[in-house]
Amino acid sequence: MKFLLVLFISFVGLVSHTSAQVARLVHYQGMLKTSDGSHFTGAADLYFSIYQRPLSETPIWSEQHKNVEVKDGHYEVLLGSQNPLNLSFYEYFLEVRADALGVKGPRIPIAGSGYNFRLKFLFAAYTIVWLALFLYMLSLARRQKKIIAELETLAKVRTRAEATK
Amino acid sequence: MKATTSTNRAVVLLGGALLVAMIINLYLIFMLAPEERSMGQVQRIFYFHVPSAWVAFLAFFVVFIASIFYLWKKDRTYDMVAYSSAEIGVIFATLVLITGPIWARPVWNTWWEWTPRLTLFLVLWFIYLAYLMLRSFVEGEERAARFAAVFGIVGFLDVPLVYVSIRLWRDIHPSPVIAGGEGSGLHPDMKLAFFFSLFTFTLLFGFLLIYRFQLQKSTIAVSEIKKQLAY
Amino acid sequence: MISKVGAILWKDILSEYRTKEMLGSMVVFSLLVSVIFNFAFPPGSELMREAAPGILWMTIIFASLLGLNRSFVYEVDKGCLQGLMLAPVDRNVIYLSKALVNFIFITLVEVLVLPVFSIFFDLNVINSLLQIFLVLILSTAGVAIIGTLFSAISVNTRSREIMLPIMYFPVFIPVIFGAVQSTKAILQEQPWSVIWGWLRIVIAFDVIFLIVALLTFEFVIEE
Repeated sequence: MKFLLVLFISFVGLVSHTSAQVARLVHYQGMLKTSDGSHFTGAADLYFSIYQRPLSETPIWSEQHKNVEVKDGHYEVLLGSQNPLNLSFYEYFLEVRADALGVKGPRIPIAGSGYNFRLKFLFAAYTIVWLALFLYMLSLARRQKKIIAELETLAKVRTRAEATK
Repeated sequence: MKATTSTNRAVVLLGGALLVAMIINLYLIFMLAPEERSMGQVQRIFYFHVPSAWVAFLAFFVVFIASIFYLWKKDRTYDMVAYSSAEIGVIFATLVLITGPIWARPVWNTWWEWTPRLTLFLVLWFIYLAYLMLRSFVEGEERAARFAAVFGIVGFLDVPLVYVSIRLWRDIHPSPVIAGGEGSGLHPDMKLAFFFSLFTFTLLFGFLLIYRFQLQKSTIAVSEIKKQLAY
Repeated sequence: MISKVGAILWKDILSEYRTKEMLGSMVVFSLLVSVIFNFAFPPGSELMREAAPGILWMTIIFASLLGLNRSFVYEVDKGCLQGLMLAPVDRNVIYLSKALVNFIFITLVEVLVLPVFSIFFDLNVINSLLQIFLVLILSTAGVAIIGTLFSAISVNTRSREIMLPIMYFPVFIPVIFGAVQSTKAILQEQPWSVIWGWLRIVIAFDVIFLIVALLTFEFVIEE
């Protein structure tokens, strides 16, 4: 009963340890390979689009980055620098296209506004589990007390009944 | 009442072990287990969602065995175990049904998916509910115990059949979203956290069961005394 | 023992034949439900034909709940059950005869409703009549096996009309799946292996719960 409360409070400290910052821009590092699988080097026009689900048709956000410097396949861009990223949801799927090279990447899951939103779910789930167990133990304890009180009164009634026989 | 002092001691010891296990478990879940790559922090729900499911099944198994013994031996104690286990089991089943969607929302972008496990748990929850309702809707405690025992046996044997039929159904309509991938290739620290969590929850179940059983025993004792005094 | 089962069976059939109460209400209910479901879909849509097996079985199950409730109500209310139990019969005889009565009546309802249903929902049932009957027989057996056991329990509860569905529906899910999916597979002319995959579940259900019911019925009936 009481120790559950202690554990519950101690959890709050743990949550703050694992929380992350909110981000409106997403710093994205990617790999660009040509259609034959070799790592691309040079400047590429990359088209980024974000979808709500792995298989949805229309993107909810898109941005084109021209002349992105790609070195041995590696590149980095700041998504949201041209078209503001105002995603309030939970998880999205990013698709990268390089039309000139004719390549299109698979959809990669990325976090919406940072992991902070996800943390709320973790916290909610954890809280509910502990709350449920705590409340159940509380109800058990209360019922126990009631029964014991009843037993005592019944014992008194019984001794009185036997005394009057 | 003399037996209660030794059982009380056992309960206190178990409670102490449980407290220690819970603290270690929290450490393992939140500090030791690494962050999962694709799901992030929210994956940690897994460490108490799956053990809750395990406990819900374990509790139902206890109901099953206790129901058989009750019908066979006619000893009221078995019925008390069955009732206590059912009450605890329904709580854990409810927790599975709550933490499941909470986990699913940020990971799959939807509150509910008819996955085999969640669907099975929905059915299990309803069977539990029917069991508990049967208990309270029947007049006469001994009768209620008998009916509930029969239903408990039927219900438990039904669960694998339900699971098989859901699986066959899902094979025809596969889930369109990316699955969680919680079982595939767990990091050893994650394995440790998970199995310890399983252990802790089992301990918790045992503790709650003993506690609830004693309460049930006292409740029955009270009604027995009341009946005697009524003469 | 067969003669004893037959005797109780005959008694129930006779009493129903005289009033035709239960059978009549079950048939009317099924037809009504089919018509109402019809209104839930846009006329002549593919959706309706796809959902037809599901609607058919939901209709049968709801109608059978009506019949199942009846099988013990009179016995308990009018005290006939004690009379039955005083007779030197094995408890399971009572169970088997009740289950058979339910099975016969529900099958009768299905036979009457199926042609009407296939007209409403434009289903080609004639081609695969034998297979559909197989599904009907096996699934109705499941209804009778579990339904009879549960109605013996629920008739002793405070709100018996609600207690039976609450116990019955979750437990009956494997047969619902089996019946609906195999009917759908038959109508879509899928290979026998698919149909058999679902029927296996129904057969397993029937066998397992027949055994369980025979073992536990005496505990339900005893006073």
